[in-house]
Amino acid sequence: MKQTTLKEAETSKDISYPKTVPNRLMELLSKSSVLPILIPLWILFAFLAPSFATLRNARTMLAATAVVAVAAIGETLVLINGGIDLSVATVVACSAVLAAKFMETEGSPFIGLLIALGIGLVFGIINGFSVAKLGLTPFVLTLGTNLIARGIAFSVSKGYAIRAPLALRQFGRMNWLGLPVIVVIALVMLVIFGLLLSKTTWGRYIYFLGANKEAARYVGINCGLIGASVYVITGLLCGLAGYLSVTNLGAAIPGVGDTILLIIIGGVILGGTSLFGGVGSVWRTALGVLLLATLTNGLNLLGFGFYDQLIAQGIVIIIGTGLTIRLR
Amino acid sequence: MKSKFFLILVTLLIVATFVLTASAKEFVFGVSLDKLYLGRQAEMKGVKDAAKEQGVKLLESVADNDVQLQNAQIDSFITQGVDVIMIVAVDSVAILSAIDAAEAAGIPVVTFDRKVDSDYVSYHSGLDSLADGKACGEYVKSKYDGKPHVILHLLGALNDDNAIQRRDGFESALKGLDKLEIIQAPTDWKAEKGLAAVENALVSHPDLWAIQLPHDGMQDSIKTALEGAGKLFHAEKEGHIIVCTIDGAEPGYRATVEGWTDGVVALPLFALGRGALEAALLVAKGGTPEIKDQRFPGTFFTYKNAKENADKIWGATFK
Repeated sequence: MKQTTLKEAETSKDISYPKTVPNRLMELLSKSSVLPILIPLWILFAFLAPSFATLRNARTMLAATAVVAVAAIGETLVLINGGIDLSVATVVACSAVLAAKFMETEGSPFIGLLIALGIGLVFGIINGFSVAKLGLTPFVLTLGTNLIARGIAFSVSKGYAIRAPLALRQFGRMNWLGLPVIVVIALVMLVIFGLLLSKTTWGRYIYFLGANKEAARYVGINCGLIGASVYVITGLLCGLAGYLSVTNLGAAIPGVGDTILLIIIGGVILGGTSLFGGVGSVWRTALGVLLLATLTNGLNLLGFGFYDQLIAQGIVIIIGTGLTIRLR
Repeated sequence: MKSKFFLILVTLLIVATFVLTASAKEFVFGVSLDKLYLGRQAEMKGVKDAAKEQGVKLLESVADNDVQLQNAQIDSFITQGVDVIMIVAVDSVAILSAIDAAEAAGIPVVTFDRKVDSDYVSYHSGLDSLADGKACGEYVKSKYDGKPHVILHLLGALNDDNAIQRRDGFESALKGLDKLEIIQAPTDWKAEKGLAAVENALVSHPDLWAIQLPHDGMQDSIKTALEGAGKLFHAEKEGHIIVCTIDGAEPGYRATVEGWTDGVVALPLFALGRGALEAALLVAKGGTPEIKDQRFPGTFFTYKNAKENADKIWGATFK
């Protein structure tokens, strides 16, 4: 009997190819550059560090990832669309600081959320309008907005952390369905944007534009509008991430954006999103961010020094990116 | 009678076993540091030496000034079920959520170097930064000749209690000397900001009289600025700008021995670290430290006596 390989089954129209669980799993593993690294890492850390495979540790790891994951959704959209946004991290910080500053005096966490989203929206509109209408290079433009956002964050806060109101701190310590509330919010965002990207016309246009902008224009896609919308949505997501940051830490840190930009971009690229556009997905980004979080968490539990962790993260990013390119 | 005696003996043996087991228990402390530079390493030497003597196992983490990372690292300590968490906070406000988590888990917290305003913290081992700043201010005051002068006062990071206390201590010593103009320049503890501030001050005030440094990590960059302006002179030479610093690391010790820096406040970092570990051990055993906020003042050494007191300046020998 002729054995059908996985590749042949995928490319053929042979409907008799059995979609069993093991076959689906192999299909998923073959498409993802992260899972072949992530799963062995989980097994290794669970074996070497007894407290790794505990519910508490899983919650800790996910909570530490939630803010980055939400911002990384936005970066994923931008990269798939063929652009880049270097301001994501500092917009997170700026949104966090301005929201916390308001809540410091007025106290309303809900208004604070609207302010954080509003700040993100403003930066998103600036980035989107500048790229789509004015034709500015995304790299240079968002480098500029990155500096502006950072400057505002430090100027308003004067470099100090701003404590969140008690109600928000209490909210941040709540669990929903056994998970920290910020993790649940991040998961909801992942689901929403995963569906928007894969199941809507808007999502398909983003891929199309990223893959071939000229072709997209020829078929009548409003490239300016789609391109701008991506930056606007990213801004909103960064605003939300900023608010989640305040909720998680119990304070707004003006320098929070200084350390997370590379983690955001690293997670997105590691997940398989192409720097050149047209390829990627929100779920893959989630896996990429989870991989970096797993590495940090596991190495912490094993007592690895901070600088050794940086080396390990760098090696994993290189291996993961290499795998991604080979799979393509 | 014999069976009662036997029962008492067995009970005593069981109790003794528990007591011995409890006192033989190896305590595990999680130590969360903000950043690993030479001064922090000196504090950790005190912590490690005391831990070794007391049979305490240490789990260390360094956050590299990343607040979120520090919170996640402390969460890891909680997951690992450490007996006490010792913290040098990156940010004394942002660390509060991690301390809340430790409190919820019932794990005591001890802080050292950087004070955190939390009722849950069992003990703080810190510097007497007010006294340290004042010691420098008193020296500068001793050089005051009654004429108008400009002093450049470089500050550390203003979200750090040590920086604020050093600033206040220095300026309190000079209070009332109205002919002295003090220019403050925050540096975030960064050498490049200190360098820029000194260079700018030398341009706008060529007759700059004194410079107060927040720590001696910026000693070499200040020397560069003074050399560039042709203002680097020994303390006993004409044209010398008074320079005082706080810390006692190798750059500050070397600069003081060389004589272009007038004096350095040598901080008792080993004692500070040791004090934190010993208090943490007391807390782990269920005790309460007598003093909740222990301060260790530094000692001011000048260019005249620094070399002969090298053994009292931690940076002279610690590498």
